[in-house]
Amino acid sequence: MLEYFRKILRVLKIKKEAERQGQAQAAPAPRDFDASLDQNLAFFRQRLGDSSDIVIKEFQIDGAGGPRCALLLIDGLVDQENVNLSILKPMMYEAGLKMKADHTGRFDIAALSREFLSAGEVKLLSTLDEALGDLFSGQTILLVDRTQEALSIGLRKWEKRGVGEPQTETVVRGPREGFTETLRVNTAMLRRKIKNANLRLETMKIGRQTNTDVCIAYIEGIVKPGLIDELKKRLDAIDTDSVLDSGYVEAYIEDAPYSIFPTVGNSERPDTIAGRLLEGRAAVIVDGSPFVLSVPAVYIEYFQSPEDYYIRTYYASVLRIIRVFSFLITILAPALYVAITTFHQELIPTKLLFTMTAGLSGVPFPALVEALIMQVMFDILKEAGIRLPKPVGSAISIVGALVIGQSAVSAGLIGPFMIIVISITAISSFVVPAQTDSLSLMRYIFLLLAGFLGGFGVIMGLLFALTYLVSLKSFGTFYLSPILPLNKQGMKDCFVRMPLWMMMKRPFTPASENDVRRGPREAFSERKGG
Amino acid sequence: MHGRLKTIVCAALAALALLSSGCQSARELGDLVIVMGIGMDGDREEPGNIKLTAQIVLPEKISSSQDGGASSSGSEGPYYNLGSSEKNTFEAVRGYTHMVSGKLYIAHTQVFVIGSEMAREGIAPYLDFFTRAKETRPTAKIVISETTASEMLGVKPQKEMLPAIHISQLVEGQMVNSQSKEITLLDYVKAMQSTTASLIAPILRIEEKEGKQVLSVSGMAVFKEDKMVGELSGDETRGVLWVMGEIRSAVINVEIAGGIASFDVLNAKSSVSPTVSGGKVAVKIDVAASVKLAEQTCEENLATQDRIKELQALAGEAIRSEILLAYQKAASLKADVFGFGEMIHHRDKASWREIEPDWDRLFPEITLDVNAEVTIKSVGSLERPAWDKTDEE
Repeated sequence: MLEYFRKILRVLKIKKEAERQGQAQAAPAPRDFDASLDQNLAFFRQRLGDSSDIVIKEFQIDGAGGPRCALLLIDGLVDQENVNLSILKPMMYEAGLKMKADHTGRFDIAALSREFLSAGEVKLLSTLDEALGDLFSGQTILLVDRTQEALSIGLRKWEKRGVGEPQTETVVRGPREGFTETLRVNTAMLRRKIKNANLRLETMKIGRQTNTDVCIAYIEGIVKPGLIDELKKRLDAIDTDSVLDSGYVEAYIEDAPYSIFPTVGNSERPDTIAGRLLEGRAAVIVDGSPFVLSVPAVYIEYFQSPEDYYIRTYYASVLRIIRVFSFLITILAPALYVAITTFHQELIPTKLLFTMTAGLSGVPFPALVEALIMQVMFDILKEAGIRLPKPVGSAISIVGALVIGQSAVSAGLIGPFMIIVISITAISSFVVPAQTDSLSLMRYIFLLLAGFLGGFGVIMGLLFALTYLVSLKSFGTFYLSPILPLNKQGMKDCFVRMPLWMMMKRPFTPASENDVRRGPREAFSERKGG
Repeated sequence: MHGRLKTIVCAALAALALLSSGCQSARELGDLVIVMGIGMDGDREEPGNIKLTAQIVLPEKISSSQDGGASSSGSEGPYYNLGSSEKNTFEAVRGYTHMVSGKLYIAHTQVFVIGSEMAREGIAPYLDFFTRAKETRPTAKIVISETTASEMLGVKPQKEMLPAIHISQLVEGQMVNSQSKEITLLDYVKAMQSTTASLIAPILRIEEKEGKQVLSVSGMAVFKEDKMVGELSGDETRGVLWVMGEIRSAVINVEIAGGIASFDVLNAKSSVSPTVSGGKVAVKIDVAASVKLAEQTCEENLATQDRIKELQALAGEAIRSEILLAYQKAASLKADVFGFGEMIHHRDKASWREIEPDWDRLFPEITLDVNAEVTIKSVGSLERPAWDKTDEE
């Protein structure tokens, strides 16, 4: 016990130190541009070191004799051809005649941008730190001697993956595009879906070392009131070195970081995210990740596929129910099997009991151990299947299938019924894909409960899980809504998917200002009548 | 700091709770000694002892015999019967642990076969253990065997692999002819609760057919309290079931036009209203049955308005006579198999309190008023017998 307290004290000390360091690093005073180009370049050279990908090009307006300038850019992030065409060429050959220093001996750099630069995105910079930041996000920086400002010119171009079909949420009917790693491409995809002035995309930088662009997307007037303030507050509070994927951001903004249930949603599909924005939620797009976060998250969203809205109501509803059913199978089937075979054999139909008993003859392990062996074996195979290099994949899966399906039974290690149970469990787990991680954890928990306490344990586990889920909130919205608290509008899109024209209002509580989804009933019935 | 300590303590406690509860009642499937049927006899050598016969399943043999595997000599089949004789049931059941690898698993036990000899002496002390045991199914059937129960459980069935399952299915199948009825452990408990109602239970007999022993169920044993006092024949049993409204299917034969017409009962309802006046009990029984003509052996076409009316009256009379027959038998045994006493108890508590001590004397003197209404709903796929060649206009 004493040892334990010491450990805690040590942890606390480290925490304090980290806080102190954080304060020391925060907020260095912004440095202004020096009037001298050489001074400015010296600053950049010192800050940038001699990284091979940084290009500093010095030139003079209108060739020799003109005012001295310098271009700073990062090779690989900038379209060099375009730099030649729309910066160097006009400035070196055309600008000189008109560029004159005013009486203070300074250049009007804004005029330069207005009159000579044909690049579209040009921004005036006033501090060196701004310039540094822009440089790394792919901007070209133009410094001119005897000016205390600089131009940041957007001529970005880098190798990027094209828009492809999303790997995780495939649909049969529906758009086939998925988000990519590039923030701009992702925001453009949202814009294309929601052509509306009220779609707001606010960008900030997170990550002390990585300076990753993070973009909040929402629809003004539809978004749940207060959500954006809360989201910004949480994002601003992130103080971390690096953001390499949206998962990093998720970890810092989720409501219940210790929970096995995700309280921040994500999707790879622009249509899904657009749909959520239109429900009054907000999205967080992180540069470098094709997974876009959405908040608040509700549990039922893991059972909703975008395809549900594209196919017809009845089948969509059947699919929803099948998904809920598979969800139950995947968390409970091994547990129930173990509970029934070790505690409640009276529940097994008599004739099945004989065959099951016969199948188990010679199996040396208790059902719980058997189930754990199989479950771990399957999880290993699954993990191997994901990480394997493609050419080896088929070989391993054949070996896996043979080992698990055949040899384990004939060797008397596992009963044949366990194979059936684990297989159906495994298959069902992929029906609710966005949740595989928490499902597989729950499966193990229930399995242990069933092995030790039988059906009683399973029931206790379910009660506990339910109580816990009811208490969870994501950004002020109850995790189990619209079921608890019951929301009539939300229930139309819960276990069944009602026809789109019946979903009159947005599903969230508290309702946003503009919560009507479609025109008045009369207008619709007229159309239907016609 | 405090919070974290708390979580750790909580987790440790939860883990302890899980581990210490440790699989107490857990039993692996492979370790079960599955008992499908239990026979109960009095021990001839040591009077007062109970001799249990447990039919224990060998599951491995069931699945291997499906592939046609050869079975060993002597007692074939995927089971073996094992006897244990002790002073009481519990001790006899526990006695098996000396002989088999674990406690008997009686949750799947389908039938309790009770030897008639023992049944005449009273079954309550011996069944008490099974009605208390939480494993026992209340739907397990009770069967009285004509000879010893161990003999019955030893008769190898032709189709089923396990005698116990065969017996259980045999009893279930009786609802087709309604000449016997399945009685479960729950029925037994209910009957024991009542002061006057008598338990009836199907009787299992062994018959020789083509040189082989065959089990058959017919008639029912009548109990007074927990002691068997007599038997109802098949027809008498049906008489009882008409009154109880428990006929689902039955065959009624009537003689007509020099032959026999048979009816299949489609459904039947009964209403029984007992009245007590001046220390006398009168019971009015109305039975309404709808039937279909299943067979005729006479030449004449019976599917005419007149004949049908006649047939309906005859069939009604047949039902009536069965009921009266049953009552006569019950009266001679002084056993209220119909549950008239309970009915009065429910309807007229005050007068029941007066006549209850006298019920044994009153029951045989009940004035019965039996009415049976039979409706012929159908004459089958043929409108007239196939041999009837007359053209119809």
